[in-house]
Amino acid sequence: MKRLAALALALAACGTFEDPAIVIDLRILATTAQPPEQLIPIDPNNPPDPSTLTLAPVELCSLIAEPGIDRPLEWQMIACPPSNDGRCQDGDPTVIVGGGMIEDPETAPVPQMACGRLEGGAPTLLVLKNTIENDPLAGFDHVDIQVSIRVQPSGVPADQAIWGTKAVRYGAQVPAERTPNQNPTLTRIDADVGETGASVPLTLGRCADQATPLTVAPGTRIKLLPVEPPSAREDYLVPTFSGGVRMLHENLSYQWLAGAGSYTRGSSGGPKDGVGNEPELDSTFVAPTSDVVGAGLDVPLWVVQRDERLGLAWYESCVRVAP
Amino acid sequence: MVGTAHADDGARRDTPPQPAKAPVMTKAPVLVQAVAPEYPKAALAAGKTADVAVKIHVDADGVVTAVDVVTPVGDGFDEAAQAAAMQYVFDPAEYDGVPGPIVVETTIHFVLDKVVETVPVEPPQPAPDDAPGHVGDARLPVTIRGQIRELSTRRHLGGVIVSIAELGMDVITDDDGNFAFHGVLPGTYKLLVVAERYERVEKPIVLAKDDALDLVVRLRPLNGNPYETVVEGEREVLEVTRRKLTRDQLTSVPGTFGDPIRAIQALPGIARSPFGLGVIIVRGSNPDDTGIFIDGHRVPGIFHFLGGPSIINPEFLDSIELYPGGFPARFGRQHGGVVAIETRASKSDGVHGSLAIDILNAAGYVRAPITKRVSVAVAGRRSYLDGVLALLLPKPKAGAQRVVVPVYYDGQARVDVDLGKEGKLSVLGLISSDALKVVNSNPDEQASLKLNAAIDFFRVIGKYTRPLAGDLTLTLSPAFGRDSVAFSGSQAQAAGPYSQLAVTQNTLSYRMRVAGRLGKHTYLDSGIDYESRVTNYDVLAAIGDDFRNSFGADLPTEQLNRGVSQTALGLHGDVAIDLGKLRLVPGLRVDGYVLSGQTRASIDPRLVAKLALSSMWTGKAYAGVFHQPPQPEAFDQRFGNPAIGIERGLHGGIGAEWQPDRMWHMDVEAYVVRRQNLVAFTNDVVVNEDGTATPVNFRNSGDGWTYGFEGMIRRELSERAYGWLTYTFSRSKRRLNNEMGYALNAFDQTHIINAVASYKLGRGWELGARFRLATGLPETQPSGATFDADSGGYLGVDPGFRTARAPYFTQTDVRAEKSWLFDTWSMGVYLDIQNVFARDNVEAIEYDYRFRKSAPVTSVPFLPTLGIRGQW
Repeated sequence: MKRLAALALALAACGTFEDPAIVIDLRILATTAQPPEQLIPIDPNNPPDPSTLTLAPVELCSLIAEPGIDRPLEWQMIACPPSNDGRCQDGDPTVIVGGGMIEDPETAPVPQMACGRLEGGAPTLLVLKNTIENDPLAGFDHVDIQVSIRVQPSGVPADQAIWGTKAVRYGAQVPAERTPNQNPTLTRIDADVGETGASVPLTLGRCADQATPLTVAPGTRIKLLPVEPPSAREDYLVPTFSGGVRMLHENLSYQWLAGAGSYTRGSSGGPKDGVGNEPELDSTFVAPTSDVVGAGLDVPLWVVQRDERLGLAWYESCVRVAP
Repeated sequence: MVGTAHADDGARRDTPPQPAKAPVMTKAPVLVQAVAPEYPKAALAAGKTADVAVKIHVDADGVVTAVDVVTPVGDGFDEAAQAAAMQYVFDPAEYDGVPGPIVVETTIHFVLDKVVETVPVEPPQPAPDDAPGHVGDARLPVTIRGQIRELSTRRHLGGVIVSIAELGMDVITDDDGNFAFHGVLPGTYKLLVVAERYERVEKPIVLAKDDALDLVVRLRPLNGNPYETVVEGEREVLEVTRRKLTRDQLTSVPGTFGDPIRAIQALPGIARSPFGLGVIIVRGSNPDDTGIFIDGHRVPGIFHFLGGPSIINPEFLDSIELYPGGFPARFGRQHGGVVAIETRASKSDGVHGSLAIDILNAAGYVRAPITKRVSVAVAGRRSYLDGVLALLLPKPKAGAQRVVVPVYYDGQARVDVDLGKEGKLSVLGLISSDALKVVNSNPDEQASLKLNAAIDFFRVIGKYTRPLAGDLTLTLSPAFGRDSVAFSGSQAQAAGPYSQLAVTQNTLSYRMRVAGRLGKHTYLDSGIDYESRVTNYDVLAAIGDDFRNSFGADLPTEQLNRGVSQTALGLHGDVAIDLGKLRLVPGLRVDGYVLSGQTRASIDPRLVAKLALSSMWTGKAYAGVFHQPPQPEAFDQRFGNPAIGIERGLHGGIGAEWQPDRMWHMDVEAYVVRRQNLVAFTNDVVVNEDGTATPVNFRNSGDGWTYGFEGMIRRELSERAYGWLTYTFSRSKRRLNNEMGYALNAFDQTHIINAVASYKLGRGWELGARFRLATGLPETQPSGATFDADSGGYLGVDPGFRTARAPYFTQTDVRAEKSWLFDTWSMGVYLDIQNVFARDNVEAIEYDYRFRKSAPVTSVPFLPTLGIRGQW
């Protein structure tokens, strides 16, 4: 009943919002953690004090975009216990992961990434301990600590900063044959220009790094299909509450982003939907129209690949739209 | 001896005050409704008679506002005359063509007729002169007889005064509307027929020598509305606040499409239900906290889906009672409020029925006598939203398929058996169904879907009532019913469902009630309330409840069957004790529960007090304990918590009622509700010593406060107008556990104003309007957002949970109806326009993907409904 009512309400809604797949201003598009998950050998019947554990460092990198404005950006990453809004709360233990400044992401001579390192020392262990203590499942299987990311154009007021968050997972090596998650990978992205059925591999790299990117006319439809390596989708074990284990198979999902134009679907992949439809992996990019393109426009494309276990990878490409 | 009394017709009227250039009375007042006074018992026993001269103050609406006794005569005659005259209704006097007040002077006569033993006379056989409906010398034959019926409905009207003015003979029709005059001599007379709420009839009659007249007189309801009122006897008052609506009063409330049950949403203490939900929110509580009872037995809901009409045909309704708090002990297992619906007996003097059609649905109703003691009524309704949508939706492309079928229907049947001295027996059957079917497939796309959703229930309710010793009445009422909620989803081309949920609940209940007066100052209402519910869940779904973080994992679907049972046995008793001007009603309810094998118990003491402060003012107060078992899923062994306990509510309130005359009523009340042990969902698990974990799922960790004030000024239904104005101030807060702060309830609305007015213009026209104002629903309004790299979405940053509100809601509905009365049937056509000013009311606020921009989600701006209904 309530779903039906919600449907009716949705039909009555009259808002027109920006397309989330089209990046028109400063945004964090993705953040990777390497490794995304660490498994710690422990005896579940006699769990150790978290502050005595040894953790490996984690490299975190954010993909940041700001089309249209050429300016440097300041960034900072701080790790802390998880919160509902993805930001570190006053009074919680924190660890500085990194900070600094990057050049304009689109025009800088080399690709720009905001990267920091979460060390495995005592401050991180304190965050982990606090997280376990406040975990409603008392640390069962794993806990996530969050890395809060703040980005703002250099020289603008702090209230113009944008925020992001990325979780880093620490689990118990239970059962012993369990392996930690790896970030997903991709063989290539096939591009079918005009949806003719003939595909070519999409050249990866920023617009600034491609002398002759894929060139299409305004309004051209380009079907984009991610091609995964055979090992991209991992099998993994999870402990059950009743003391057993369950074997699961990873899903990979794709988020499609661009600097202009539109996509037929903003995300693809993932699990089956509620009625059993197998998810489509592809999405079709529709190049911007002539009035947007003008004399010609290089449109950045981004694809963010995710599994359901915090694994993440991103790919960047470019389409030149010329009348 | 029998006592009769009547007022002089054509009494002297006072002239109005004569100021300078005084207006000229262009029309004298006309008495259109006279009520016979009650003969004082002591005076009747003593054989006393009296003539009481009274001055009757009549206002510009023809309503009597005061009655003065000119010369008191004592022996209770003065009070009886005043009480009767207060119920007179006049067609008001007019001055220069404008209605105005006047004082009318008349005399009410109390006379005694001697009882004469009947002497059989052949032929015809006269009835005893004290037989109902007979008047005159019983030894003489009946020379004028007849029957009074209501125009269009043919309903036989008892209690109607029939008189032959020239002879001074009055008679009151019997229950079947019959009257008979004995020994009237041949001649020309004027027959006068007067009945409350009907137009007066003056009919010339000519009685020839050796002749007898047999008449049928049809009375036209005042202002021609065939859906008028049935006068109801008041029952004993055991509660502080009970707001009662009757079917006949409220088929014309604007914005309700003629559905009386919808009218309760305009009563004080009822918060506005968001568009399309159709729930009843009593004093800010959750909808589940309010029980809905039909003939004393619980039903799962009262409205069809998407805020559709109620599940009972209006013709089947006898009364709707809303208890916003402090309700009697016979209602239990709820700590919010109670809506009690009583269905109407099918007893009928002939075949009667109705048919109603509007743009959403069609409904029919028939009742008929089967034998002298057995009668039956049936009703049904079906929507044709499916047909309307088929016309409105664009056709799918070639090869594609799209089906959207929302449909609802309901039906009711009732059989009544009059067992005479052995009591009355009835069986009621109810069925309600709401279904939605969606099929969407397109050969150009690989994804397709087929959804089926249905909500159904039925009830069979038996009821046997018989008198016990003294004034006590015994009622035995068993009932059985089944509720089902079903959902399935699949690909359009799939043979079977991919996901499925079917919940069925079988309920067996039994109520025994003994109620009645124990003595002059004591009234008892007690009984047994048994209810057994077995709930079964059949689920086909991807279930990942046995490990952490199943979100996003590709889990295979699995079939799951679960069942929970709840058995409750309650004993309840209220005793009303009259101590002079004070009525105290102590009550106690004790319930024992078995929830899936776990026993629970609750004890609910309650106390109500009402004090008559003056002839117009009554003070009232109450306090009590109310318990409510959790929903079935909360004590399921796997998905719930078998150790879950009973929720508790403590109600308290104080208020006053003011009734200056029979037309006006004011009711104010301040209340507080403390809720404890509320069932709250939790993600917590208990980690066992062996390293395994047990999810807790639910805890009795929640609590809340509700407090407020509500008031109502109501003008009762009269020949021309009715209406009410209500104001509610309410604040309702809850929290999931004591580590959290209190947050506003989802439906909390601080200020709620409802105004309803309806006026009958005459010639069958009636116009009405309803105005509603309510504080906007609580909102959690993000002040920022954080990009979540692991989902690709954004998390809202909010300054506090439900600390903002949607804008105020206001809506004005209007309704116009025209009725036509014919000899044996009637017809009405109405236009009901919801939100006549097309105001964009905000039901919710939606945000863009990063919570920077917002847009209101508005309800339907303007909804006209044209309907037609016939009744015979």
